[in-house]
Amino acid sequence: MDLATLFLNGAIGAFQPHNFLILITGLMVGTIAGALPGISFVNAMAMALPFTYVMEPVTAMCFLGGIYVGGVFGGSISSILINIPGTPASLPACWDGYPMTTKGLSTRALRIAITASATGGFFSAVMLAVASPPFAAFALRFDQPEFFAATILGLASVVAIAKDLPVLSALSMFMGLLIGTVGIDPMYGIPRFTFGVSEVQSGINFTVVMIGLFAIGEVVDLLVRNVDLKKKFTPVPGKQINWGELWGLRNSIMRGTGLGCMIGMIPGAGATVGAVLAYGVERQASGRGAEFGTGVEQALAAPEAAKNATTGAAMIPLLTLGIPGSAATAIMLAAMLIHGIAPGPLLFRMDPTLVYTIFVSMMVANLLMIFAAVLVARGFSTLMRVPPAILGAFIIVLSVIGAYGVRNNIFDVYVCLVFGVLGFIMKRANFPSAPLVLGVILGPLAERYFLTSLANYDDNFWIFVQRPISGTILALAAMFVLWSLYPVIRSRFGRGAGAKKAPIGPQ
Amino acid sequence: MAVSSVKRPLGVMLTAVLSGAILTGPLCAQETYPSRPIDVIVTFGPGGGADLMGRKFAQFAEPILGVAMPVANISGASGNAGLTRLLTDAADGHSVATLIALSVSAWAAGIGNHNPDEFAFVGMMQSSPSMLFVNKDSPFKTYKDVEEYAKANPGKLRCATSGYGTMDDITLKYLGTKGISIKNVPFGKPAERYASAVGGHTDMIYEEPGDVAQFLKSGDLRPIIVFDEARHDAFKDVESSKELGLEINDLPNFRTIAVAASTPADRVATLAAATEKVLATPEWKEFCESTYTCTPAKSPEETKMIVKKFYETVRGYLEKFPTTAEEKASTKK
Amino acid sequence: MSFSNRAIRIGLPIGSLGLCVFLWFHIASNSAALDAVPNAVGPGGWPRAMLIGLATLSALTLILELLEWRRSIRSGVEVAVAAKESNGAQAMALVGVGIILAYGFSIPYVGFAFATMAFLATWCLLGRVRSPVTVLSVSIIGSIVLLYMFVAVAKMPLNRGVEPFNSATISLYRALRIY
Repeated sequence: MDLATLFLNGAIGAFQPHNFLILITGLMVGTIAGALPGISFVNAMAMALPFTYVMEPVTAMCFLGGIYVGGVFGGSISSILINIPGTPASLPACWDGYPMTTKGLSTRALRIAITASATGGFFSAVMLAVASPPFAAFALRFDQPEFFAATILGLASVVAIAKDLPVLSALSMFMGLLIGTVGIDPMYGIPRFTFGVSEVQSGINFTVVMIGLFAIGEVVDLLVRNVDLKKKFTPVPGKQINWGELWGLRNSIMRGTGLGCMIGMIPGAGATVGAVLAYGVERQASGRGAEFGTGVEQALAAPEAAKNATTGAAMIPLLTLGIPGSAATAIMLAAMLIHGIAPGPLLFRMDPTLVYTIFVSMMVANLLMIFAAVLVARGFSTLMRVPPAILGAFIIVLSVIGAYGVRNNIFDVYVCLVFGVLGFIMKRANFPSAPLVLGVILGPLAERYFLTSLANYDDNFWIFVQRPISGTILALAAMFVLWSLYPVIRSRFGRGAGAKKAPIGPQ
Repeated sequence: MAVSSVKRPLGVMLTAVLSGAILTGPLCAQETYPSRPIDVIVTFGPGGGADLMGRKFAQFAEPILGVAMPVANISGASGNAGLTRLLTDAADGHSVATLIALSVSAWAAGIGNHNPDEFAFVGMMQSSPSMLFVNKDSPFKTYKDVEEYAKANPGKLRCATSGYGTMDDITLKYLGTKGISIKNVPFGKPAERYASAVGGHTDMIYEEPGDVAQFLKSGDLRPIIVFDEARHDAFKDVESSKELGLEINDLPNFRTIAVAASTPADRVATLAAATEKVLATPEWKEFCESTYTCTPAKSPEETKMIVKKFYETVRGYLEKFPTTAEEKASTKK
Repeated sequence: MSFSNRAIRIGLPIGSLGLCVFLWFHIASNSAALDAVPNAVGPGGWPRAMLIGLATLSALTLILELLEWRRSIRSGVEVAVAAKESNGAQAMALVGVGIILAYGFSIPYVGFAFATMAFLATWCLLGRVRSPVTVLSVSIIGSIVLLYMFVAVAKMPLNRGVEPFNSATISLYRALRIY
């Protein structure tokens, strides 16, 4: 079968009424779940899994694919509206999306985020459809040293995006890295920092940390200030965004999309690294770096595009090799295995219609996402009108459910609350908390990749620079840090001390 | 005020429902079993072998037991987080969990404070031996090739495993005592382990066939030895460790369904009967064949014996091949 | 920057320095297990590297904060920036944090359903929502909606609490047709 026939068959499959309707349902479920503070789209996908048993495999994948695409965007709705990220990848949306909301530009911010996400997601789905096999072959050349280098790139970008003093960001990040080592180590099976508490052996989950740090501090502030959220959502006349202005953001969106498509294949933290990296690159490339953190539209568009551009890329290793790189794709794998379908090279030969239906559905999903997202965003903007106390109470309950739902473990709720207290303190001291979350995400990955690399390459510490791909990535990481920090360091030490402006920056 | 007068009856009604619920609560405590949903605790995350087994079991057992069987993934600490949850839930048969060989071998290695006597076993669901697989482009065609190369180049071959102190580690250490020295390269995540073998970054991988079924079917991985008493029905031309003169044939990857040991015997029996029916369905047969894990149905007592024996076996091996820490400590002295 | 902010910003690095020193000796209960491994870096290597990194950065932050403090005292900025929050607001924040903690830690004993009802009502009262009808309907209807969403539809195994709350929760679920 030639490619056109395959796509035609895929389109026929994707536009079957039941597949199409379930795709829309998935999009709505995902967007709502992602937008609910505390509940992440991974929660939603896990909860949706039992419903897919009774569906045809194609329908099941449409459903989960819809939740995935919608949910990855949905996380940004709560980032923008209430400064609580739905997923770690939505952290950058807090930094410049929420400031727009406080200026009365929430509708504008949401439209930018939706457009950027849909564009990034669509191009990524196109890449998934046309370039999967060569991309997969390329991905297989990545071994542990390359993954380690990519994780270091992520960590480097966390420090690089520090607005003021990188030391504070690095301090916060190292706290996260240390928290990431808690629990049974993955290679030797030795419990670390557990102090005899058996629940700690499972380790500390990053989603739980993030919910605690962001949601609880924010809700307490809401209670104390008793601010009237209504006034934030009164759009300022003439500030609705139009197509021309969106077109003006095309460079930012394209940069984000490109980064997301490449980074998305990294197992474990593709979307988060992609979004953070895109934010850092955008700060340098947009020419408005100094204003970042105050509601710059480019700073919102680029990471949003990058975040959704990882969705298609993350599905490449899943479909072509049967190897899931993230929690979301692992659930998709589970859904396929339940139906007795093993993704991998054979699937392309045995059931190309299924594969191409998934491809077409992913493309369609990213376009339909615009409508789903606009609807949900409008609904959530309305929800913001309820009294802050009631809103806050439900955010806390949802956060507890979300923390619990990560592993269905009450201990995670305790951890979440402890980090809530820490987040409350950090917020009061203007101490950045986003690097901490990123440290918890990337730390365990970095350690694993580092140790396995050494085990696999005879304890050679130079292996990371000797292998061409990992060496290149590490060089890029170093250059990126220098490039980003040069203006910060120059402004602080060059023009004399005391020139401190914004307290700590966007995080 | 007009609004509140409309709402008031609603509030009163809801309060009434709630207080009614609390008052009648203890009265319906004694009941027929099962009368409410049975939580199926899967002790690992979604997408793995234990998850698939737990979900298939729940799916097929639901119509037999006549209640909903929601699956909850409670992962962490080699499955012990979920097992701890099973034991803290009321032992009334409304919580069951997957209990697999990996968790049992973790107990032997000192992870998780559990032992087989804390559980009653509903049934042996799946079991399969582990195998060594090589990449499709590997120069090794048979186990003999590996043996010759390893003997000539000690420590040059690298095998992707799930960690130190595991069944994988024990097997490699056993091979080491036979002069076949293969380096253990542990991977934290199964998916990355498979990718390293398929991508040719390691020379071989230790795994049960079901977990790499897609690579076997596509030809990306080739089996070279099965660690068992006899050859595997699905891989008739792959030599078994027994016929090669190796004595490491007692580390099967089994998956059971377990409840807390204090669960009433009649409820365990109800669950066991349902499990037996599940195992007899053609759908389950098809499932276990596709994952190379078919195993004859066993009674709760037989299952418990197998688990206990396995626990003792692993402990014995770990004494014989101490974990690296103890090994170093003893050589220092 | 208010006084308490200053205290936190200086206290945090001091605290994390102290914590690093303490944790250095408590990485694993059996510290012999950490280094005796076949590889160059064992299970202790990475946590140690992180501890060193964190300690170094804490020390650096502390120095910078102290310098900043001295500078702000000299230029008199310290006085100019008054505390943003009144004492009442700070007390309110602490009470809020306390209630959230109480809610979370009570779930395994009281069960999710009843803990949530109590929490929703308390939080409304704290947030100056005083109409009994609103408080009751938020608490009861809100909890029921959440129970339908997460227990009935999403099938989450949320804690039912210890007896008698366990049976009470089961009865509530039965009354709501969830079980």
